Amino acid sequence: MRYLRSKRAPYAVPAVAVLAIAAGAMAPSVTGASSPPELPVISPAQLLAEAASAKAPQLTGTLSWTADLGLADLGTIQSDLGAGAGGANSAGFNPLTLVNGTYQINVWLDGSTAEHLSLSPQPGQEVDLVRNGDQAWYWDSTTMKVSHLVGQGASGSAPAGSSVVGALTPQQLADRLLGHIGPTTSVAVPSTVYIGGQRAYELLVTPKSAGGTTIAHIEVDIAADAPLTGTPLQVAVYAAGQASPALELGYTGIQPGPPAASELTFSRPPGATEVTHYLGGPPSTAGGSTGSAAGPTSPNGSAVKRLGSGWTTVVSGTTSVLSNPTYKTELDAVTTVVDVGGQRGRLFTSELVNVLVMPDGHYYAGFVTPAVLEADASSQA
Amino acid sequence: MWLVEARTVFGRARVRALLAVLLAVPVFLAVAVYLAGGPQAGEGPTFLDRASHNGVFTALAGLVVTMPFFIPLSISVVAGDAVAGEANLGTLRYLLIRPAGRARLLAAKGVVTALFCLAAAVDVVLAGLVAGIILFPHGPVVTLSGTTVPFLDGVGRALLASLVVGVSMFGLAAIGLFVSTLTDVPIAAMAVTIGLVIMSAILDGVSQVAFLHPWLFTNYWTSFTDLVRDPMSWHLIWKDFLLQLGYVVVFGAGAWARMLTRDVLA
Repeated sequence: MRYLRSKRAPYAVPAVAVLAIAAGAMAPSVTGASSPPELPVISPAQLLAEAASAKAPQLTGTLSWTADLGLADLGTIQSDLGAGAGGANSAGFNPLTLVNGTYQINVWLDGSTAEHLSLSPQPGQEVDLVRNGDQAWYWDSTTMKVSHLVGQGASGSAPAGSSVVGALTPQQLADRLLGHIGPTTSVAVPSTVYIGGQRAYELLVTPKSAGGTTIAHIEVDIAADAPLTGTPLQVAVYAAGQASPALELGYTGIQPGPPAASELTFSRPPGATEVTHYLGGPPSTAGGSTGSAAGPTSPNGSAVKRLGSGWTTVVSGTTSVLSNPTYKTELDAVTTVVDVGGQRGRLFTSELVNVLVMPDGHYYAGFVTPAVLEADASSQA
Repeated sequence: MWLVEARTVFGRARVRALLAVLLAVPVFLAVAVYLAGGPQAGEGPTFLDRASHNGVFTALAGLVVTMPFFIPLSISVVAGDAVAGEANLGTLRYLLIRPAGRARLLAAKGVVTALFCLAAAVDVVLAGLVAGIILFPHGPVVTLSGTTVPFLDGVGRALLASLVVGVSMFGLAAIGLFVSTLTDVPIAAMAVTIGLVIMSAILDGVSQVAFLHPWLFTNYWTSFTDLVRDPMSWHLIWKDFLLQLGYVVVFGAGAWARMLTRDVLA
């Protein structure tokens, strides 16, 4: 027996190494990395006022975007829908790839005058969105194409059409969410947290009535210290019954201060093609204008309509992609058939987003339960 | 001892043949693109569509093409052979008669295998650079971020990429070395090692086991492409290095434990 034991003893070393690595991997979630910062008590109303009056920040940083919707593999529907939405050819960046997984985004923000976001959706590919004043550039390294958008002196807001990547800062996302806070919502400031090394208050936004919505709660972490005071640093959306966020966008690193000027402009590199779009009429009304300054449209379809209000808001529209018989097999694989007022609707479900597609190509989508979608669909029919 | 070991390994005809094959891949790639024209932008393997624009991308395309299989295959051969080969030939006994001890012998084998990892990747990039510079323009390099850097900066990035790829292979080398201590049949050790590469790559493509992906040694292999961004993005490369370190510690310790306790009969 002694012989056997001594023969096995050295194997304790690799075993301990495995355990140490496992412990190391678990450690941040067990110990909470560091204790939460101590900050003076603040009421939700004060915090919301701070967030509302916060200026667009100046910083260089990295963002982490995580989407964990419990989605099935959407295959060709996903790529074709995304290609339609992005208007790019199939080789270019497909924004719909972002509905699954974790991505790091480098950001350079210079107040409301300029911003630059850079994302590597897959190895060897980078897409960049640079906006400076009324000009914006969208660069896709795969297609070697630059879309140059020139607005009409309307600084302060990014030209429309660049919105796909342009909405990707926690502040812009939080502004959209907090703008909808109304009587159906309760807010609280239960704790504090470090985000990207900055002290922040955690604002907890919860629907008052759990009925109808798939959202359990939303956490918005708002910076407590100057110069970023009031700037949302992280937004996390939790689906009902889920312990980890279904969507999370937050800083992993922040350097406050004006970013390098070289990051806030873009010039066409040799070998690349550049297409310039003029937004909002002259100087070139002939063919140059894309008309993308109009309201959002569905991929390959009509204008989007909003139904309902508050947490049970549903967006509706039509799309040719979803009623296209080419996709019947794929749609069958990822959807279930439901009966809506005598019609065969297709229901696509995930943890957070549910979509109902009617046989005529009308779709209804929202952070709501399928029952709400079906009710909306039958009232519209 | 390390020098002797290095001279033995790099002196072997099969190791030289492996390096020659790795050398040939980017050269063939460059000649094919030169004669037939490269793929359209966005088509084909990463960087191949740019190979004809700049010699630096010829080298990087070579790295992209050899990374999933050729380089790991050559490393599996060298690592799998390291201990099992000696045992098979009956030379392991004689090596261990020297007072150096089993742990030091294993360490020497490990260091030389690591050297081969770096050599294999540098080999590909150097061949790609030479072929690319001869056949294609060598002006300023357009990064993935759409900026332009001087040619020499691009060459530096390509060489850096080869070192990063070499280090990314350390985990595989440790696995191969461990498997090699388990058997007296080198071909079995090689086959198991390359089999693990294929298995890891397959698992990496299956979204149902996404929770496993950050732990697969092949997961961050393509992170070297972040060196062609501007500014260079090191975040995935550090993750890769940390992961490789984990594999080296675990399988290195496993190989050491096996080496200390195995009965050397041949």
